Amino acid sequence: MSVVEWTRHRLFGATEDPVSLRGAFRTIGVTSLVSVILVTTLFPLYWTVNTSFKPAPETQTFPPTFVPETFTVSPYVDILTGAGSSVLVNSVIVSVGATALAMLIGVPAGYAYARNPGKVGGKHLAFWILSLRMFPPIAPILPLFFMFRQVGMIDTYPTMMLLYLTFNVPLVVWLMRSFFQDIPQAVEEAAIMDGYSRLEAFFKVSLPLVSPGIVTTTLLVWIFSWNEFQFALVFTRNAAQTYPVIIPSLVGGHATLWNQVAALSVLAMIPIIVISLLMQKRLVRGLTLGAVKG
Amino acid sequence: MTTIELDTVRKEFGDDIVAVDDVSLTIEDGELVVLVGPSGSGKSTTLRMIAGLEAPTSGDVRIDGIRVNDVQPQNRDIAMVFQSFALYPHRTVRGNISFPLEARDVPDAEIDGRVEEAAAMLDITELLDRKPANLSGGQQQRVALGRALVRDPQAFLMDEPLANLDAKLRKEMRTEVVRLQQNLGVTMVHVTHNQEEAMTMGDRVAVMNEGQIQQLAPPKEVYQRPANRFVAEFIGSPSMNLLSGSLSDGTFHADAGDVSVRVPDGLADASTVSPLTLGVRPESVQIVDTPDEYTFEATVDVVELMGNVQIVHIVLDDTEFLAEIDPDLAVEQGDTLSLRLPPEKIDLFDGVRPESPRIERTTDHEPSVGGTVVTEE
Repeated sequence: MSVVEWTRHRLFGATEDPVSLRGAFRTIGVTSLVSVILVTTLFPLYWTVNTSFKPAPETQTFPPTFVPETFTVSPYVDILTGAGSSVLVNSVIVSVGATALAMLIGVPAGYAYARNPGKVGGKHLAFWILSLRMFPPIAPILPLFFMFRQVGMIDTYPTMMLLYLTFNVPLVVWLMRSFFQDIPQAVEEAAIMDGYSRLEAFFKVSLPLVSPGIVTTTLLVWIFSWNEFQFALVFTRNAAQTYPVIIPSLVGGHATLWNQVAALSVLAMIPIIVISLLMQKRLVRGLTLGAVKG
Repeated sequence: MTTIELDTVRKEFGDDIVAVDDVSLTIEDGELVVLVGPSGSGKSTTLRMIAGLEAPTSGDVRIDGIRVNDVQPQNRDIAMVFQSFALYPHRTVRGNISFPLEARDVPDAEIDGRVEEAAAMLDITELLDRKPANLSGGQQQRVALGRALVRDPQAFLMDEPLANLDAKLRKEMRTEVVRLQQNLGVTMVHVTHNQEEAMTMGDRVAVMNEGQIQQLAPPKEVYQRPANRFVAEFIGSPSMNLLSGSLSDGTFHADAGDVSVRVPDGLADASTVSPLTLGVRPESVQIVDTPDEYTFEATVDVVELMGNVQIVHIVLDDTEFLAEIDPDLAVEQGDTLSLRLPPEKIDLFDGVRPESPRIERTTDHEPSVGGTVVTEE
């Protein structure tokens, strides 16, 4: 039964039965609540898309127009011929590099923790790794800034990739640890008895089995790296500038180019939405892996 | 030719847990030895040390006379079947069975032939393209066996492979495993906590408790001549009746109940040191009309009809005593019976602890046990 059918049935189909009147009111309540949530979450998205197709003057009109009166793609053309294209390329390079690096370090570490609980680095290292996510990002920015400036590494790709490790590695380690824990040790031992080394068993058995977890973790880490603002604001000038930093710069003293802000936001959203949709099946499996046992 | 030797092998976990306590054991070529014992007895750890998945704290593991302590498990050419089957969920049945061959760089054409052959042997040919998740427990078990035998290993290690199957399937697979082992003539070590499995499968049975082998002997001998009180109690179902007490003038006086029975001459002067344990299997206990020096009287507590036998429960103070008798005998709760412990079927153990050894008879008066092992299920 579809939601619509169900709602209709609840509202009108069985009203003769006094008991189901209560159900009807509940249905109205639930539907209203869901509607409110949908409107508040989807409206900004809609408004961004709406604004991105307006010429600059129309973004300032009051009352605002809910559909562009003058439909134009010039905000996209303007932002892409301006700073937009280079920051998007930078964002791709930094986020992909940072994600790859974090996975390369975090996946083996998560595996080590899953298989040798309490042995790897003693009992405190694991907590220390997690604690890296506990302080506010602003706290290490200043000392890190001086360190990187000292070695002449401000505004470079490697700098940004290294910086994002601070927050991404703990996430990868802890997520992958629980994904690996869900793989029975006996399966790996079976591979070893079948004639493979421990490393081969890892690559041929354990790694394929956690692939939904790897997809999920990669996506979470990548989205963080893609959208990160604070580090990017402080550590980039031009060469490695990522798209989130450009957006406030469009909010100028003379005029705010809301339509270009919106256009860049839409462009930045597209890869996340596309990849999430493509990976949806594996993503859901990854997010629920371990939630359902047996 | 594959013999497996354990030479005073010891395994400690941490500082105070001794899982395997200086076990020595030689498994001959083509022999099926069953390691049986309660959980925590060290049987699985012993098996894992043979496999190389655990390293002994001390002692040597030898395969064909060569010390393999430092040989990695993947290089020992030993196949292992796990309790959880441990199939590779991301591979098909074919992919599971071919996996060990791929590790050895066997040519593809040969792999196909050998996989088909193994599948045919286990009657799983039609399952080859399925994933393990779509198989029943028994089918998964067959795939696990196929994966083990496809590579023609030097020896098979079985870590409770039948424990996850239901009772009927377990019996079928038990027979199948023994048939495979005999047809292939391969050395096999089988671990189980199920004494019935041990008795029916093993050429020899190693009964383990607290990290030590209590007795290593063919099943019949383990049953008829248990080395100590632990083995006597662990092997056989229902368990052997064990009464602690003392011996004087050739008569055994039990601590519990009003039990005083004569013991056979071969045992009468064996020991006068108390305390002792008298053991008699339930199927050896007789119900008689006329009391003699080998009988005692007791009141029936519960009667269980099992079909081919009925089991009479008697409570002697805090000790339960069982008699397995002809189902046609009319016995009811509350009846007072004369129970006879036939002298040739009585065992005495020198003490009341599990490790108390069975006392050998001084005369050639060996017990002739008529009963068989009664199944648990």
